[in-house]
Amino acid sequence: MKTLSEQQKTSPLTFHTGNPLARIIRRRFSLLFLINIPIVAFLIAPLVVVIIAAFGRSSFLEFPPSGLTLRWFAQLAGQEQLVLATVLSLKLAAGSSLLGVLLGVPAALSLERMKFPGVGVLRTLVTAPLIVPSIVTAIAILLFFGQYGLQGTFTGLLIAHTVLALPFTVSIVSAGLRGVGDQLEEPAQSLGASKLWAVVSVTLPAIRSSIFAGAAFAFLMSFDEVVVTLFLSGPGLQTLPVYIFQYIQYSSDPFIAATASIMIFFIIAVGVIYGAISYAGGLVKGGAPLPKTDLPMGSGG
Amino acid sequence: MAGPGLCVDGRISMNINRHGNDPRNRGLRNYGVLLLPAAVVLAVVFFYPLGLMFVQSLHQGDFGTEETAFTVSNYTQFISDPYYRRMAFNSISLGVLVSAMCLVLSYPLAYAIARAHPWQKVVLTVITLVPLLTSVVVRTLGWMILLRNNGLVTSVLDQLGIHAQLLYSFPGVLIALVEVLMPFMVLSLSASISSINPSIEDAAGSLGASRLRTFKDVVVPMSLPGAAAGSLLVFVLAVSAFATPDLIGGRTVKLVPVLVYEQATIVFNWPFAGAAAFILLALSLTAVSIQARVLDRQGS
Repeated sequence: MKTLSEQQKTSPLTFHTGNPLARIIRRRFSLLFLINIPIVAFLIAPLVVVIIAAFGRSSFLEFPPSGLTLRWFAQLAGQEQLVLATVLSLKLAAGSSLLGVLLGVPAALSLERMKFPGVGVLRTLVTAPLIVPSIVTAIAILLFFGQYGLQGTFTGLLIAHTVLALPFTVSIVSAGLRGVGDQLEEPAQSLGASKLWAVVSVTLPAIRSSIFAGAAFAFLMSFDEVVVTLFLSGPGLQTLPVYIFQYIQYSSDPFIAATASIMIFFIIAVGVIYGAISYAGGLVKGGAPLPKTDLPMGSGG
Repeated sequence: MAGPGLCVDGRISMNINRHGNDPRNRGLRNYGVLLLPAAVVLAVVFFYPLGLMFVQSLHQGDFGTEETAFTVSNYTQFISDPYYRRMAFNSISLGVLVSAMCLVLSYPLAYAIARAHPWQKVVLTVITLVPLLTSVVVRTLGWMILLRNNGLVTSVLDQLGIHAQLLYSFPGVLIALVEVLMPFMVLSLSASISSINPSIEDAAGSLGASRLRTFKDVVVPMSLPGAAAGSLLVFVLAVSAFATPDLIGGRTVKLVPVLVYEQATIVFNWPFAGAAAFILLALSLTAVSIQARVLDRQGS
């Protein structure tokens, strides 16, 4: 009786039974586990290096550092340019994720509910900013903004980031809508609600986690975006990634590593909170614990 | 992938027909209206600028000289000049090498994510997501510290008798981009492996196959669609990457995105920058359409 349940618990990872200690050792130090150690190390190496280098005592970036100090983190507070960049990044991320949701939720609803042969083409067009290389988008928008004086303005950056946010909000909300269908709207309508009110009062609350996930992804992507922002930013208008990019193009010291560390800490906090929520919420039972989307996520390099 | 959606769509279309002239449909007669705001924004700030750039790329000379006749000379110059052909070749080989290396490195991690116990799954997923969500600039800074002369990697290689220049070199760009783009491959593969029924692996095991053999003969073939989709995604992102190649490669590693940047912001030859950008776009779209075909085959 006991062995049966034990077997079910350990399957499919272990085929052999035996003494429990040996089994634990086999599972913990399996070939898979050993192979994955250097792979995970490679994946997180640059983040670890940046954080450690930020504590280096020497005034040029060294790894491993010869001594440790908190001096560079203390210096961060006094940098007005850095504070401005952080505020701009947060404002842009919040603004574009809000606009992305305001434009993206109706668009997703429309793309999911419309029924005609060309709807797939429309869906592809809405998500096109993800497929077009960001350097191509960047110079195209720069060319366009140049004609209307929007280059180097907050409005211009906000509009551009909204365009980049839309594919995320639309695809994540679309996946959520596909999950709930419109069955719940029918009872609401038969109780006298209009179609629009049925959607607003029944369907939107049902997909609120998708809307939140879409907004969160749009926020993070805007916060990290560097290529398009680099082209459209102007003097006195730098986001945090653009500030770091332009700084390390010509020089590198522990100060910039400390700046970058702050960004890493922020993302780790987001990641840990996300992990805790998804673990507690049992999101991990089936598949990867990620918001459902039918699109590749993010922009690389 | 579109399988379950179809029947839902079918129901929806029936409902719309049924409620076609129903007074309860008031206020939401046509879902197309809801698409309008997003469509207008995209049309004006995305598609119109792309069109503008395409028209520019068909002219010669500096910005603002639209009076000159249409010409394809920018495109023919790119294709006929060995210097630019070499650049396109570099970009494509970078894309192929990065996706191949990502594929090899991602399989064990993706398998662990798909098959591990829940808490390990969460830990490994967060380890994959944190680099993905950290700005490319930050991770590139980490690689600049690691790869530079007398840095950790070159010192270790020196000890082994290998004297290599990594920063401002093609191999350096390759190493950094593999790390930058690996999370995409891991997520694509782990989604694919998760969808394989674990009892198939159990069956292989109970028939006497070792776990390595099960992995090689069962898991890898069954997750090939995920591998293909991930490889093409990574290829597209690697070919079009700008920030990492620019910072790690400096001006010494010649790649198409860096050329686009230089032509637009340093040389101010917008028409040529536009032509190079469209050649890059054509390359990406070719890969994306191959990916779409692979996903279609996976769905049917």
